[in-house]
Amino acid sequence: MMRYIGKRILQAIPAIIGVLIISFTIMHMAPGDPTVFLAGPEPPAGYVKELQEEYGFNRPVYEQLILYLWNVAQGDLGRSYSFHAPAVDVVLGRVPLTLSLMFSALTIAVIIGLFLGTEAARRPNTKLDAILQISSVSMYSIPPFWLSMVAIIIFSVNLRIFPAIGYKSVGVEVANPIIDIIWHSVLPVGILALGRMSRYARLTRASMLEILGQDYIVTARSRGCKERRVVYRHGLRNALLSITTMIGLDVRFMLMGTVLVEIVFGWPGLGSLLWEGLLSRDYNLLMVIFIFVTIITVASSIIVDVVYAFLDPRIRYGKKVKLD
Amino acid sequence: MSTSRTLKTKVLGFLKNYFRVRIGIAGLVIIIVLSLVSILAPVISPFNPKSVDMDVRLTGPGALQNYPLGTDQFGRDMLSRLIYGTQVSLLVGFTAAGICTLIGLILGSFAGYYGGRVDDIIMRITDIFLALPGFFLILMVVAVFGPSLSLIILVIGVTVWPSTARLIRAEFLAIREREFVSAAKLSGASNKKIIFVEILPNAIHPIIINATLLIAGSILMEASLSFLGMGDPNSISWGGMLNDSLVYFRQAWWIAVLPGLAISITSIAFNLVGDALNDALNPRLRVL
Repeated sequence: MMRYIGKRILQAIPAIIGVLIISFTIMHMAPGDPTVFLAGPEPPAGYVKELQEEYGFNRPVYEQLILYLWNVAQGDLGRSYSFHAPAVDVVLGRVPLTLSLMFSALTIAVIIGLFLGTEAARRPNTKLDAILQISSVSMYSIPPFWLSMVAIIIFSVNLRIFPAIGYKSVGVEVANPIIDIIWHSVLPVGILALGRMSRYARLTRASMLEILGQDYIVTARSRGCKERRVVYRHGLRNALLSITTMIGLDVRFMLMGTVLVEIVFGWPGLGSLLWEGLLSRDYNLLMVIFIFVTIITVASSIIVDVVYAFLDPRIRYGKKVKLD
Repeated sequence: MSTSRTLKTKVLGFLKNYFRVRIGIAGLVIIIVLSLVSILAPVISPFNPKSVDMDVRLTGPGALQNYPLGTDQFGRDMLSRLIYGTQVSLLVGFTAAGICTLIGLILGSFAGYYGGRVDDIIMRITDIFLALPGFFLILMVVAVFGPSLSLIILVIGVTVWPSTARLIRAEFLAIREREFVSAAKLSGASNKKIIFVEILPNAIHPIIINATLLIAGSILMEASLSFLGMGDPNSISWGGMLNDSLVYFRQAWWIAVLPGLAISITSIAFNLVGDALNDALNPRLRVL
């Protein structure tokens, strides 16, 4: 298993180098350079040129690329021009906020999805089925950032139940900071979870329907197992496999959704940072965000593959396998 | 004679299957209506969608008789802007999905048909593209080169193809082993002819279904880009309207709710048609 994990990580390296080169090339083919923004509205004579020298913008693109890759190899991904700090530090400061939002939503979506899907499979062709089908198509089609705006209009502006902005209260004394943060995350997490829930439910339903007709389930029933135990213990275990695959493919969509939802809620994660980077044309910052997003995507697909191997004993990656 | 008859039964059978899926019809009707609206936009929209009238800014729906759906923060008529918005969404949806399907078709069919080294190289490229977070790549390109409608369409098409290529490759891999392909080969048909005349018609169903879903995806992609302020500034798009609404939507719900509703309905319509086609053309999968 360790060998397989190592192999998967090695395989991911070309993709990440590819991303470095692609994004660098795109950024530097751009008309104009950020020194214009750095220099301010009325720069003194020669100041723009000085800045270009300092940051190396006057050199040919390929030279800048080689220099950049060399710096990356040494752990230096450049400075953020708008934050006046190393871009990696700025991004790393925001990553946990995005990941916590995304994974809380994912966890809730999976748990509820598994439950609803299993219940739907136990009584096929009922109302629950129809509801799941309709909601899965619509949640796939409704942009989550718009749903966030609607939620703010309903729950924050009109009902005044949940806060509309940020991840914690600012300038107000709060009794319990943890509850304060949870309170702020109800809407964004809820919307992101809602977007995935019905899809997981539909998938669970489909694989459960298939599994519940199989011999070993019949055997378990004939041996007098309780129905709930048959379904949740014997059936669901196998249905988990298809959900796991789905989650791996989902992470990139989740990231896109999370980033956009963050912007609406002013949640200070990667999305808000991306927004600021776009406005100020902060090349290095945008590039580091892009690299991090790729790393999160690739890493999650590796994790999903490993989890899959653990869940399905038939799959053994590599030759020597020790399960401990 | 016999071919025309089988064609007729095929078409009839398809229609019967399809019409059984009533929800797909609903989607189709919505798409037809939207297409008509986009074509007739100059005729049916009550105002010039870009004309500013600060006297009536942020008028609620129904408050003034002239503005049934209200106005935005510049006093522009919401209804007219929503009507014109169909043009951008449908244009982006159809052309981006078209480009994507074309690239996927060429690469997927070659990889699946020739196999071996061709397959290896094409699939390696596909894998790298699949590992990239597509939305962010599109966003970077559009941000850097400046947003224009043609660039947005092109970039979506050029970025989203890998899953289509994989799908088509899988179809070609399966069909290439069938007897009628061997028969065509033995009778001396060229590779090009086998790919496009023998195999492609047999793989067309999943390609059409996939294209329908791609249209919905591209519409959402354009809306998301415009929402981030990366839409074409010269055209009216629903995502752009949402971007405009970010400052005032807390006071004026309609400037956010209406464009998002338009995006959602359009995207749902295409997804419903895609699902219904899937049910109609792939009876095996109906249980799902």
